[in-house]
Amino acid sequence: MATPNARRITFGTATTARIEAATTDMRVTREDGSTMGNYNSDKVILDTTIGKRFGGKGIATINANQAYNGWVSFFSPIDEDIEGIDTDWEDEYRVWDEIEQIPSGDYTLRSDSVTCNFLYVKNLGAVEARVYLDGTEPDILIPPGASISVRLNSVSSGNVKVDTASSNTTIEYVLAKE
Amino acid sequence: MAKTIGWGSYCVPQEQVNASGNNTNFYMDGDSGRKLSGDASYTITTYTAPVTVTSTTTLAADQDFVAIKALSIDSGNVHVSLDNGDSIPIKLLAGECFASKISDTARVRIVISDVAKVEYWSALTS
Repeated sequence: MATPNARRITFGTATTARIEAATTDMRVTREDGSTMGNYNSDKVILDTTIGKRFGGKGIATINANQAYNGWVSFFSPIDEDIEGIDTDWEDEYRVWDEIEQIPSGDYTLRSDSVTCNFLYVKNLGAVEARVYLDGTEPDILIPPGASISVRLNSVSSGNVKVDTASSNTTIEYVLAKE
Repeated sequence: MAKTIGWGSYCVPQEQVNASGNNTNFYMDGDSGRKLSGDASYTITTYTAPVTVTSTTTLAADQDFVAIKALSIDSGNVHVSLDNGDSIPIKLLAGECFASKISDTARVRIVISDVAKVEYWSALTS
């Protein structure tokens, strides 16, 4: 991992509250008595309680020198010791698979001890993932397919953990040093 | 009529190779190599209408989903606590949003240190 002049992360989150539209008879009768169209209108519309798409975006400036290849899940941890051309990549057990297997016990994303200011986690598996930001409480839940993008408030890397309530799942992540 | 929440987030790590010269652009970071994103939908029973606050606020207990956006920050900071203020691990700058499904034990507190306007809503599954 070379060190560029600077690094940053653009990120965003959006939510929509939706409700199924009222069921409506959409059929019409032709002159010959036959009908066409569907009975049900199964459209999903924006819920008026929220009434808008709710979201935001930002840019997090992170440290140019992340000092650890495991700041993203897209690099084999063994590459931390191999700068430049990875001549032994074909011999590694985990290579370029871009995911991390997460067990039901706490799993610390970064093994180094740094202060972090950005976290992205996507759940690629079929079991709900849980995210700890204080090291003790799994307050954030990530269903399969979902992700979170969060600007962290100088959180110690040792406090950022992911696990499942039971069984395993897989994730991709970015945990950036500030 | 079923109610659902659809939500998604993305991030794009970027790097700047040169600090000066003709090209100071940021490009997609080679360590990740692509835009990262995910989305999901979630069936719920009740939403709260969006609420705008200008001072530190604790949301109702036992929420299953929260969405919080910093509309403006004139001074100070906006943080989000998930344990009723014991720790404040999430920071929002103006225009940024945090939205996630949360556990039953989480107690969300929006911490506004000075002059800022924050909007939020939450949802329950039962």
